[in-house]
Amino acid sequence: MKNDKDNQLIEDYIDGIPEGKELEAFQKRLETDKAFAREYELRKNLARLWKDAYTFQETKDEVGHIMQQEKQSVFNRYRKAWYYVAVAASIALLIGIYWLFVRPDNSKHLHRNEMAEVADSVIFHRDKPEKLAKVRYNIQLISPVNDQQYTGKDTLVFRWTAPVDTVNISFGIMDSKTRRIVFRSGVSLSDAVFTLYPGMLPPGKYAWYLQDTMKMNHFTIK
Amino acid sequence: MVKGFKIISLVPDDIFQEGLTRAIINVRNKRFKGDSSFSTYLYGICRNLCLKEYNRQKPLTNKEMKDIGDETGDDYFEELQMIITLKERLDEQCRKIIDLRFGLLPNEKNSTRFDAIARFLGIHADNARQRFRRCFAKLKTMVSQQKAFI
Repeated sequence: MKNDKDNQLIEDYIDGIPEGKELEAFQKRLETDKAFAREYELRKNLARLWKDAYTFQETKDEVGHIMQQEKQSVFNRYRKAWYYVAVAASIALLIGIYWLFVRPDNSKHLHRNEMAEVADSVIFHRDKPEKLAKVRYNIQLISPVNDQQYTGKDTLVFRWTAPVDTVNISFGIMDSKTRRIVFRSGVSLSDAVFTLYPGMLPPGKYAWYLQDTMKMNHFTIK
Repeated sequence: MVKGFKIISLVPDDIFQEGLTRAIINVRNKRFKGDSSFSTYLYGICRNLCLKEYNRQKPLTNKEMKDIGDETGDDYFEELQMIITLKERLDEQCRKIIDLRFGLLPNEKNSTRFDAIARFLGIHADNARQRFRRCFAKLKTMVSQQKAFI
């Protein structure tokens, strides 16, 4: 009970309630009563520590928050860098895949060589001989035939018929005099026509043929 | 430095967070006199934290203990840590009345007097006074049990 009364006095003193003689009595007791003074100091120190602990915890939480933000910022910086590395690696991989698998292989494509003097310079794709063997005797060379005459300004249109349209074959023009092949190109039988524009062949006598058909038709350019 | 102590319980981030907080508080309270660079000061605080934790697990010799300086106010922060721990053990009602009485919770006119606290809590002034008396006594008992004060 005495403690409760002393605590009441201390709390009132902190609130500035005692005045006049009451205040003097309190201050005198602080000087003379060591236990009372100790109790008063304890009350003041605990209050100070309680408030300081609150500030300390607040500051510590703020420091922790900033550390977390900084960590995230560093992580994001490196993550950004790794992002760019990943993108570059993906692009390099795509380019590699394209180069290896998707890029058209020119060696397999039909290559139209309009003025080939040397047969080896012409690259064309032909169907397998056994496939060709089924159709070659049925190919009909329509025109030009029978040594048809052309001038140097004429467009030469070569026509044929074939029973099938899925065969790729070689079209050739040979100099009748020298027996040299002066022109060769890959064609599809289904096209049934091949056009040679004016000025491609010099005046002379020629024979045209479709590969392996043993048939030739002659024409002349004057 | 933390990893050099080879104590699993020491977490570098925790040591740094605690050390930096103490350094900031000391700067605010003007305990840091500027005799060294701030980084050196902070390093000293963190080192002492590691040594104290190490001592708890493996007692240091007297000579080694002397090497742990106290210019960083370690006792003060030990007391703060004690209050933080005891605060968590108090019930919500006690925490609140003590916060109000010590001016940590805003109330009307920011007064810490019992009549203002009573109005804020919606109770009678005498009830507020008694509640604080009971809670503060509880806190004092817990502190004396910790044997870290007076």
